[in-house]
Amino acid sequence: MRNLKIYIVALALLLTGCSINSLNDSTFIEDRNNPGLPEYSEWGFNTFGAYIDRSAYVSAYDVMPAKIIVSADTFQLRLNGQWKGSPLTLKFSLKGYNPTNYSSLTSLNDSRFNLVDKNYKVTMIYLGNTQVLNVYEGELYFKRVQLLYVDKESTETILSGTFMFKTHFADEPVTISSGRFDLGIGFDNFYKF
Amino acid sequence: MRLFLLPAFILIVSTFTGYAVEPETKKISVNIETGLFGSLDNSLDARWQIRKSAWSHYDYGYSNYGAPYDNFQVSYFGVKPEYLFANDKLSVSAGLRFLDVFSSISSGSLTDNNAFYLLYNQSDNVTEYARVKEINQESYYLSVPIELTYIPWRFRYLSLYAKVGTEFGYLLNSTSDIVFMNSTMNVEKQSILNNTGVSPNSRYSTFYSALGVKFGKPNKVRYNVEIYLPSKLLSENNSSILKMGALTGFSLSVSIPVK
Repeated sequence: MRNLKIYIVALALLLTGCSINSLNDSTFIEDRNNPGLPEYSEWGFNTFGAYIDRSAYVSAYDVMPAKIIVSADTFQLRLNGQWKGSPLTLKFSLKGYNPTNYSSLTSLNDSRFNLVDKNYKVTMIYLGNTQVLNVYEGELYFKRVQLLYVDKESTETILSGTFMFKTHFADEPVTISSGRFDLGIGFDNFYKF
Repeated sequence: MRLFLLPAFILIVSTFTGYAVEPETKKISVNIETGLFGSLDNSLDARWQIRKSAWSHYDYGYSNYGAPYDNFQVSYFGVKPEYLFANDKLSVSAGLRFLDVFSSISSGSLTDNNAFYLLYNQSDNVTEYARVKEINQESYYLSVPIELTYIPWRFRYLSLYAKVGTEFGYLLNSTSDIVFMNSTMNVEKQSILNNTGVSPNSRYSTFYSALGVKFGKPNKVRYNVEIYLPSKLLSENNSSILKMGALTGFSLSVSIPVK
């Protein structure tokens, strides 16, 4: 059924003459060393993935994979994906970081955030439940942040990096491992309030 | 339809039986030939950094559709004297060929909205893509083919043969081009070509084999059709855009007996 849905969308794109190669597309290239996860890349492929206790949590085709929300003095990276067939959102909130626009995100280049720090928070939304996770080990790493120009015009910022942490979820310890992301952040998914 | 069956049957039978095959009294002939090779299973040369694209995405598993179209072909024309010996069973030939080696990658039609993204500049935190419709390269070589042909079956109006050959060529000229989606990017074209490095190998060599049919009577002008079996380029980097797989193709030629 999922395959049929994808083919219908693709056929609709072809029939309407829309470009089938867009920077907004998600390009999922499986990591052969980590089956089920996208391979780490720095092309702005709009994908992310991680193992939650060995089950793959990955970006979905029909949902915007990431949003950046900046309010007051808090920066929030929101990853929208699927885990075990149901939507799951992870939110990384970093207090004290306040970029003005998506181009300013380059200040994150080669930045590591220890998720145990009280200024940083991880929230999970799954099956209608929102839970602020108690992280007792882990980090979020923006390995490379690039300004992308297409045909000499500023287009978006590519955020590429990794994440991993340990927490409690549903009354038992859970490990989020081998997390990676390669996201294009531009006008349509950067919000400043 | 039935009116033609009987004469066709007689022609076919007389071709393969009928009168005794006339011996070849003219041992030397000149072949004027033309042919076309294509490459199976090309891959992109790693010097071109092209953003992979996908219009089909799975949550699990691998999906990488929408890669640019690719094309590699060699067309040629040439002249080749041929000498028949060993009781008309073998022949050797050598000559001159003019080769046109064309390779390209494209997003499809040059008039639609599709394009692929070529990464042409990258520094610490700036990356520049260009939207490209096509990258192509055309190289011209002058080559000397050397062939050995075995003719096991000769009939009244046709002969069947197999041949092996090798070819050595030298680059005469090469041009490369990038067709941008946005014409304002043309100012970057030469810089991108220079930085990428688009010099094909000045040498061209290949080893090949073919099966052929020669139509016509001995000692008269005859026409040859050959199918090339998958063969390999011995030289490397004859295209700066693609890495070629096996080559296959066909050839048409005219044999003119001389002496």
